[in-house]
Order: sequence, then C-alpha cells, then structure tokens
Amino acid sequence: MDYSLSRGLAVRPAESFISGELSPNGALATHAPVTLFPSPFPRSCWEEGRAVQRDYNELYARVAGNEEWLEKTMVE
Amino acid sequence: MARLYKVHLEVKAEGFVQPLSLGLFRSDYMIHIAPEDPKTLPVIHQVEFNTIASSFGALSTRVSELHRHLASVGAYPSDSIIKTENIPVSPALPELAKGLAFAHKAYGSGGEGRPTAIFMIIQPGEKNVFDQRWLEYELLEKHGVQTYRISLPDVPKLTKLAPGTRALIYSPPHAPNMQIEISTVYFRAGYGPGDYAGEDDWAARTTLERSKAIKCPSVITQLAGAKKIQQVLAMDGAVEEFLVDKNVSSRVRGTFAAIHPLDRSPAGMAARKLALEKPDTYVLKPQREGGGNNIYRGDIPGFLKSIPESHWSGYILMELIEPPTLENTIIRNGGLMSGGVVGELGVYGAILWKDGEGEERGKGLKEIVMNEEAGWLLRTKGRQSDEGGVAAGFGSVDAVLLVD
Repeated sequence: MDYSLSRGLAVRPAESFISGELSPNGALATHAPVTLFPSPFPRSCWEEGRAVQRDYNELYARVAGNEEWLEKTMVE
Repeated sequence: MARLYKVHLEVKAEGFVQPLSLGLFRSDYMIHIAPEDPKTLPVIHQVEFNTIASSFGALSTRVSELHRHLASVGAYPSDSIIKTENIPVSPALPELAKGLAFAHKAYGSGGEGRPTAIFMIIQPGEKNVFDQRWLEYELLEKHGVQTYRISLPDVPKLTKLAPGTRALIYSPPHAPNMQIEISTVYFRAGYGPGDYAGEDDWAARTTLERSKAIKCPSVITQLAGAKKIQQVLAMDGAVEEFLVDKNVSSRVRGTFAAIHPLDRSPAGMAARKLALEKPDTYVLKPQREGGGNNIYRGDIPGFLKSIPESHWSGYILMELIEPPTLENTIIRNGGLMSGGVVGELGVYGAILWKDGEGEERGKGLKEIVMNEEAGWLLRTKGRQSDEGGVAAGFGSVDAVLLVD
C-alpha cells in the first residue's frame, strides 16, 4: 500500500469507504484495488492480443468511416 | 444512441472542418479453454471493444511496476515462478500519451498566434482521477503539451468557436482574457446516458463535435463501438468487408467467440440443431438492443420451444467463454480477500486517421496516419461462483505473469 501511494497507483476513495465529510476538498486518496500477486497468463495469448491490436484499430476506424454500413446496421 | 447519432447528423449537415480523428481504443479478452477438449492450447476470445474513455492505462503501467518491485525485494517465495523477467511493464501510460501528443502535433499551430493545448473531458466527482493525471503529467513532461480538464457543463461557459474556422477556443477561469486553441478533445466522460444531465450537456457535445479540434473519439467512432455493431461484426463476412487482406481478417476473426444466426440459412439450421441438442456451452442472445434477457446453457431448448419458431431468427447463438479459475488475493480499501478469480486482458491501441472531406465524408476512410499497439491491462475480479472468497465482480488491477 505504501508503494502504491508513493507511486500514484491510487484512486479517490468511494463514498462508502471515506465519506465526503472526512475528506475536505478531496484531501484524501487511497491505493487502487490491486492483486497481491501477478496472475499467470499464457505468453502465446498475450502475444496474440498485442499482435492483433493494430488490425482492430484499423477495423474500427474503417467502420467509423463507413456511415452507410453503420446506419444500416444500427437501424436493423 | 439515437441522440448521439442525431448530434452526428446535425454536424454532418453543416459540414465537418476537421478530417482527422483519433482513437485510443481498448480490446478486452478472456482466456478461453475449449470445454470439449481441455488439453488444447488456450486462446483469447474478445469480450468487448471500447472506442471511448478506455481507462486504467496509467494504472496498468504502475501495477506492473509494483509487482516487479515486490519480486525484486524478495516478497514472493524464492522457489516461485514470480520473477521480474516474467512480469513485463505495460507501456500503456507512455503510449497513450504519445498517441495524444501525435494528434496534437498533427493539428498544427493555432490561428492568430494562439497557443494550443489538449482538453480532457471529465466527469464531475471522478474517482479514478490519478489514472488521468498521469497522462497529463506525461504529456507535459515528455511532450511539452499542456492539458486542461473540463466537464461538459463547463464547456459552454469557458469556450467559444472562432467564426469561420470553428477553432475551439478556451479561456481558463483564472485568466479570462487568455485564448488557448484546443487541438484535441480527449473524452474520459460522455460515454453513458448518465453523463448527459440535460440539453445543455448535449449542446456542449455538439459544440465540441462541430469544432476544428481533433476528437478522441468523434461521435461516429463512439457509435462504432456499440454492442450491436460488435455482434454484427462477429457474423460471417462482416469483418471481411472492412479488412480485405484475408490474413488480417482471419486473425481478427480468430479472437471472436463463435456466433451463429438462428435463421433459415444452412448455417442457421445447423445452429438450431446445436441449440436444441448441445446447448451447454452456449448463450442465446436477442438481436435487438433491449430485446429481452440472455438465455444460458440448458435453459435454451425449453425457451426456444416456448416461443413460435418464426421468432427464432430474432436470436443469435453465441459460444460462452470458459476462462480458467486462478487463486489470488485482492487488496481493496486496505483489506485482503483471497479466493478464485478470473482475469480480463485489455490491449490498448492508438490510431489517427483521415476521413474524406466534403461530400466524401463518411464514404470510407481515406488515410491511416498513425497506427500503434499501446500496452495492456489485466483486470482481475472475483469469480461469480466462488462463495465466501472474493466477492463476485470485485475488480482490481493486475499485472501479467507470463507463463509458457
């Protein structure tokens, strides 16, 4: 928690945790919700997600640029 | 959605003055292990694609640094697989800032010698404020670009559009005589109906859309991220319309969960058989937004038999993602909770593109100016079925520990 706060891995506390009265002018912050351990993740899956991202960027840019298709699809 | 589209049509009728658009996207995935053959290699299946206000980029960088720190001070057992070399630092913070800085530069200089800056549109009372602040600091310190935070209700009070050019001009409350030209409007608000309290907020969004500033995202880009669009893209042939290179489209398609129509086409007839006979790995979804609830697994045959067959084509059959359960401990508000968790990988992307001008607007993208992968995020939450452990849906930020 000290590391998180020192390095700005932080959030403003939810009202249910620290009420507004206890945090005058938003003076208080708390650590972001984090896991204690890094979670195991298959390297091949991580590489695949990264590798396909530029294709996804292009796909959605092209969808946004094609109004006829978008309109037809939304109206359906 | 309809209201947003109206904003787009209004601005379109008048004509756009900025051909460039910026997307800072995030594609979210879960690991899927085929239930019929658990020995096959795990794959990723897309959960959703975000085209607006993709958050947690800065925190994803910081949490991977946290776990590396803990590994390097010996906080984890020495015989465990948790080593710094298996915990890559997510570059989301520098990469997202770089994307914004790229758009800022592409905008060019301000008119009449005005200085330029970036707008971050924020929600009043935002809790995830440090995630946003890091982007501001990175923009200032690494790129020399100033960012101003502003909420939608403050837009009409503090900005105006220059006559003719429609340059977006901002006068800060502390210096009302200053004129700053906004190059890029980055939305970290405005994605849900709750962000528009009334007509004034819609008017503010319309002003921003009309302006010469580059929008991240434009209204039409936000609409492209609608759930319905994602569903249609997953149908046969849709992705291929946009990505003509077969290698590219098949790689994208490879991250979709299988999705089948239930109409009278040959594919539909085959899916009907699946739905009635082997429904255990599927969810049945109504095709229209607000068209009713999702029906899961064993409930599907009974539900289909309870409605007229002529209505079946209004549904699609989608394969459920079956993620592995892991054990972890989530630290939240100073408390520890241990138990079964599932993770969701988000991959960020930054893209700047040029649309057609005048009559050509909306008839197909003209040029991709910049296109980058921009880091990743792992979000881990308590597993639904887990009782007494981590509460279901309890989210936290996490780092990937790469395993082969």
